Amino acid sequence: MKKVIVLSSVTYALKAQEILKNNGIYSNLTRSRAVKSVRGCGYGISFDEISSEKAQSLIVGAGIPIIGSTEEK
Amino acid sequence: MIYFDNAATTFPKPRAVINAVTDAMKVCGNSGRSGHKYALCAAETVYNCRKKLAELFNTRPECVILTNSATTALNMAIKGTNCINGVTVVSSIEHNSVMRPLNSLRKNGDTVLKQFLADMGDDDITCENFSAVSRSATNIVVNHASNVCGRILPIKMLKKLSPGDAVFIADCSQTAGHIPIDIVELGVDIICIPGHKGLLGPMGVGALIINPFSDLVIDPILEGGTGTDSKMLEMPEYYPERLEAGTANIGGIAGLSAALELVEFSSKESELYEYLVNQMKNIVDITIYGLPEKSALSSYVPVLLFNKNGYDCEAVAATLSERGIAVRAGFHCAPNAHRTLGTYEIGGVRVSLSKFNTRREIDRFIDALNTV
Repeated sequence: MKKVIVLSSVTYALKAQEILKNNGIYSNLTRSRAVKSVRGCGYGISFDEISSEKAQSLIVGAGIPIIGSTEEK
Repeated sequence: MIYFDNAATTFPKPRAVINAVTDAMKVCGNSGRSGHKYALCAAETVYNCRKKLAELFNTRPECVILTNSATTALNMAIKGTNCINGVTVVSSIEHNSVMRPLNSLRKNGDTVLKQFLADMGDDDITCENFSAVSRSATNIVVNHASNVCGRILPIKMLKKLSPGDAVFIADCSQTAGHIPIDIVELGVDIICIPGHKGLLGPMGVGALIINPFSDLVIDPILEGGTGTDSKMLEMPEYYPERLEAGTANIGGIAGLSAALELVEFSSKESELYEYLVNQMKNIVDITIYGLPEKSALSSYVPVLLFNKNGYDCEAVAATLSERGIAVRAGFHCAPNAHRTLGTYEIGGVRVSLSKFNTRREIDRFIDALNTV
């Protein structure tokens, strides 16, 4: 299962992806159905849900606003 | 051709910049509009440029708004922060990219315009002049360095003297890439830069950069698609998308990103400038404006304004052009600066250097000038 964190913009998505990468969490930029269900047009980052807690903490700690989160297979 | 018109745009552009522009055209889609590889390549290209600018000017990537020029950035900053019944303070050496949008606001009754005299020899006097008019200021727009004579204004000191709640915008068109700029250290809210001058990027790209500690809300003057929040009829509240409607200039941004890899603040430009000023001082029938020959040259970017006594400035520039030397004559889109320098009626010839110039080129210029 993948965790998807929905962010307000592609800028924040790329910034979040970079922060996660620097902390050993590999993610993908996504405009999947999971993002659409939260935001309409927008971007999210998806990663293995096992990293979910750490990833959210890193993103929030960097001052990046999280719009929502969801899961996808 | 010897190119001494770098204050207009730097030339030649580095090979890496040209390659980056053309490469982007081959692999990039539209940034922030989709999730396929071409769109993501474009998004990464834009983000990388944003990140490099953020590092260079000490802010966060999302505080870097990419525009098509410094003029656009200044219009966005000036009109997007103007408040009702506001008072805007400017220096006496501003470019038309500042004065024309402000004049529109003034004519519409949307701001009162006040001006302070920028002293060409003494920053303390400049600060005194600023203090005399800035107490009621709601908005302040100041040129970091003159595009006409190269004099750097004491922005950090002016910011300290300004009312705490006034929005402070610095026009860094002639300093970006020439001298280090730290927006936090300067303390200003916004700096506006072109990508194609001191930063050596292509034309058609610039930036509005916001202080990371500022909570300023800038209203967009251009609205449209951002690729996000598509169901909303208002522009997003978050930066940079709030101020970036429409398709970005991906080629230009890729070129600027490549150029930012080449930024280095060496002493070469200032050494060349010192050499130029010293050579010019020895020519008897030359008048130099802005006092670089009498001041510390650390107070100047490598721009020099002169006239050859008894000759029309355009004729001098045309003759130099015929002899293979590119300079710019006239009023340089900054009539107030010429008024301040005493050249409002006659204009002047501007020489502006880059790190690609050499002493030998300056020698050839001096020889040509001596025989005009």
